[in-house]
Amino acid sequence: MRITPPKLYTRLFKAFCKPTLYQELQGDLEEEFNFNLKTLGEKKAKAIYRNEVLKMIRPSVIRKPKIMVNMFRTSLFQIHLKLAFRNLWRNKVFSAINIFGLAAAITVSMFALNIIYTGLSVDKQHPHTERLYRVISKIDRTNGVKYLKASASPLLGDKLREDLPEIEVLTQIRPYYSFNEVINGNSVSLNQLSVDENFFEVFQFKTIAGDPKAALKDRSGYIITDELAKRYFPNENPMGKSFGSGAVISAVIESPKGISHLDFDIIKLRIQKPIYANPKDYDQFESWDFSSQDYVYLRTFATVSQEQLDAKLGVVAKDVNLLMKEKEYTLNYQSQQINEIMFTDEIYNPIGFNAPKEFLYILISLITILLLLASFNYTNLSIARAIQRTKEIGIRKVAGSTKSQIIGQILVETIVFSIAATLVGYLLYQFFVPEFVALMDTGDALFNPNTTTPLLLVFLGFSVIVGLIAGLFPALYFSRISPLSAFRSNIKSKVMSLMNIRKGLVVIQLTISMFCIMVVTAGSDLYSSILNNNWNFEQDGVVNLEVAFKNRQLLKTRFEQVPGVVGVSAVSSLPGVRTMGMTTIKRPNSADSVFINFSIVDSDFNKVFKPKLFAGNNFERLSSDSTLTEVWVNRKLLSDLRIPLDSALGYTLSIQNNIARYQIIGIMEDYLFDRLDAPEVKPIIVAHEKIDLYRRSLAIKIESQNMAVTLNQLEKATKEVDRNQAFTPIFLNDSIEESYNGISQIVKGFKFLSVIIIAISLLGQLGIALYNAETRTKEIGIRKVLGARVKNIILMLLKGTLITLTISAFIGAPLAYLFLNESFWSMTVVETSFHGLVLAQGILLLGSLVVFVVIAQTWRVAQANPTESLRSE
Amino acid sequence: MKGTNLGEFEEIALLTILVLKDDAYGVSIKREINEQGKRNISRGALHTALSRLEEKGLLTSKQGQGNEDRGGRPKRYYEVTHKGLAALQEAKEVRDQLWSQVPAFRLQ
Repeated sequence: MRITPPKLYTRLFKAFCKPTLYQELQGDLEEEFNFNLKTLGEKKAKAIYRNEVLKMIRPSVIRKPKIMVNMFRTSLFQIHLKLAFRNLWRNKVFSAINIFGLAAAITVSMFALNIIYTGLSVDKQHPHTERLYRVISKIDRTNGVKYLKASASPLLGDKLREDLPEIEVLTQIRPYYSFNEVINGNSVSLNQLSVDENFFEVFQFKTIAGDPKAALKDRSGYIITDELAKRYFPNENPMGKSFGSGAVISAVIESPKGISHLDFDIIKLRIQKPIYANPKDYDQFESWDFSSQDYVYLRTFATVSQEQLDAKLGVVAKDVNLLMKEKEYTLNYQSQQINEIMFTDEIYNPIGFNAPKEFLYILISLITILLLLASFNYTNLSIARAIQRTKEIGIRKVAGSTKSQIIGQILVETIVFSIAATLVGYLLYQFFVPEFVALMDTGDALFNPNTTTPLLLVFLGFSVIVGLIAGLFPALYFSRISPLSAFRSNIKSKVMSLMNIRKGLVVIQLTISMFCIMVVTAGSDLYSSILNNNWNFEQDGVVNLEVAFKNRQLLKTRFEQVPGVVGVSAVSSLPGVRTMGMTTIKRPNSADSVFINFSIVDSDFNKVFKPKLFAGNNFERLSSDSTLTEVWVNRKLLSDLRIPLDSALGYTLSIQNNIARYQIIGIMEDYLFDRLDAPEVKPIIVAHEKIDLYRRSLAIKIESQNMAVTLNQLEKATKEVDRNQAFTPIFLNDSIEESYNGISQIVKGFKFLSVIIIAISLLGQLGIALYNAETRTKEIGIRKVLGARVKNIILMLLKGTLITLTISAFIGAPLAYLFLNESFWSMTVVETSFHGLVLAQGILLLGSLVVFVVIAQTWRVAQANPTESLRSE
Repeated sequence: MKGTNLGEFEEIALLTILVLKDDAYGVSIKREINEQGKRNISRGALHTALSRLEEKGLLTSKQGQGNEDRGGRPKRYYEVTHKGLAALQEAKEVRDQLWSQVPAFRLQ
């Protein structure tokens, strides 16, 4: 065998060498190689050859890159543009399929891009954001658990101000979520920020009215957002208006939504020494040990780096560790740049809006997947048209087009497509924005419903990139076509291998569609089984009313006298919605404690809700023993505390740091206070508490007849007791449904996505079916002449589709199963439908959709009179 | 005259081409230089020099036949132009003149 020079190096040389020089230089190199081969042996000859090739990399030999120059030569560009429009016009159906497929993907991507863009551009308006930090706590528990906490002790602000000369200005914030206020007679739940005087030195929000800095100094003054102002004072000047609590609006600033990670409706100056109902609480909450409510933001001087700041914070943390009473963990402080807060690493106790970094990645992969799917359509249809296009490209090549010009032409064509798709997508986007905002419900801060110029530029740039990506594969393929092979009759072989790629792409598309449809069916199934759950109490005809603490007892007695009212119960939280909070209980005869959920009810609870007890008695009246409280527990709590079921009644529990004893008088069935969207049933304790410290609302059971009349009378009664008491009753059923809004939103989001993804795949299927039917018209004609019936022909054309469907079902189903097992199915305590059934539903649904589309397309061709198609033969 | 000043390597390349008479093409020039000058230059470096000389008009080249050793690829033969000869002459004269002026005892 003849020994040749190293091929790789030869190819490399060919790639970079000027074409005019290549022949002679390669000849010289080869001659020398062969000479060396004889004199020095193979190894040495090859080494010399490689060395020589590498030394050829010099300006006099290397060719100059010409692609860019060619692509942007204007006259050529104009021709390419013209050709693109002609092609678009000539194949109207294919163009429409491509454009709508891409448009669907681009619409969704626009939403995702909007979220990403908005998320990345928050907190840029504050002065010197590059030096603006939040101090976060790094907790290192003795049992080895480590985590980050966004909040810090309330005492940290003052200590840092004293100890760190590096700090230019520092502000400390305490948020109150679901803070109840009365505005214009409506009881509303607001987010309030309790801040110090420096707040507006650190953060900057546009002033709409008044002077926020001066307003902060006014203790009774509130600073509200323009959004709140618009909602409750639509056509009046909010300045000087007062709230139910007596606070006066003294300034209006812009809403932080989409501008900052902070989330607030009102801002007010914080009280220097907060007053607690129990003086002991002051020691507990205003100490170094308590770090769950306050957030520290600071700006350093320009000369201070983040490392220097972190080093200093480390020193402060060492002091603080000594000051802490609790020794279960060590603390370290760390700074976090303000622009890193929005898409942050996992952090506990966050403030305002922030999304985990994973969310960002999910959005990016979502965009990628959708665009890949849509580009597949483009690629598929281009390949399907390859034979026709091959001749066109061949002619162009014969006429003197270079490779790069062909690439340029195809890319210009796809970019024209993608820009057209972007225009369609943008219209769709505009159409769906209100829907999307409604879907997001809470008005997610990460989405900016107004289209701004930078956002438009992002969209436009994006569409060009999409065009480039979608066109890359076809462009490279077409540019490689040699004019000779384009005119040979047997171009089948090359096209055949392309057809395999095409089939692969179709399978991927259908697999992803399959996956989505299964997830959607499973999600909808889960949501409906949650809503149709058999609760172990009666929820019909119960309304819930938030009342001011001072009015509660009065209103309860007054309501009980209203005809049509069955009972009134003051509850800390509604059954079916949630428990009130968490606490820990020590396991009997053991050192470890168990987290439990608890709720507080009164004696009338069973009158209103008729809860089902597994064993034991209803709460009758308060026990005479002042330290003894009667409670119900669920079976999970008993098993967690290792209390045997038969000896549970009468058992007395004690909650940590509390002298009160809790005696079990009843054992509840499940599904009373449980959240259904938890992986398992949680231990629950329901206390018949006599100390009336907790915020409670009134649950009123109304007879089903004349409900409207009764509600009217209840409102009258409310106003009689207190004119300022708002009357906004909510039906328990609605409250339960609303509390599962999160799931419903996820399902809705998935539905929306799936509709898009499936639409894209169906469009792809449609295109392929169209192409198949068109290219096989003659074959079908002959078959019909020979006696095939419409049914046979459709079956023949369906065969390929059915095979791809089966393959994608086999790949998609296990993937969906794994995903669902990790997500929806492990998320709930409710029994959902049989899992296999859900998956089968998905397969059937998508399968019938695809088959329907294909049949609808092939029907016409199968029906056609063979004389028409064969006439020209 | 600016532009006709020859570099050392250029001078050697021109002379080698003259020595090789009708057989001056890439490989032979390179081999000759490497053998006579006891140095090891690469084909790439030689190409740079030759193309520069051609640009200056000191060399002309023409394509020749290929052979099997070269995979059938054509050779490029080089020839020194009159201008090239003149430049060589000039360089030689400058050197000769300088040599003749060096005092004899300095060379011992």
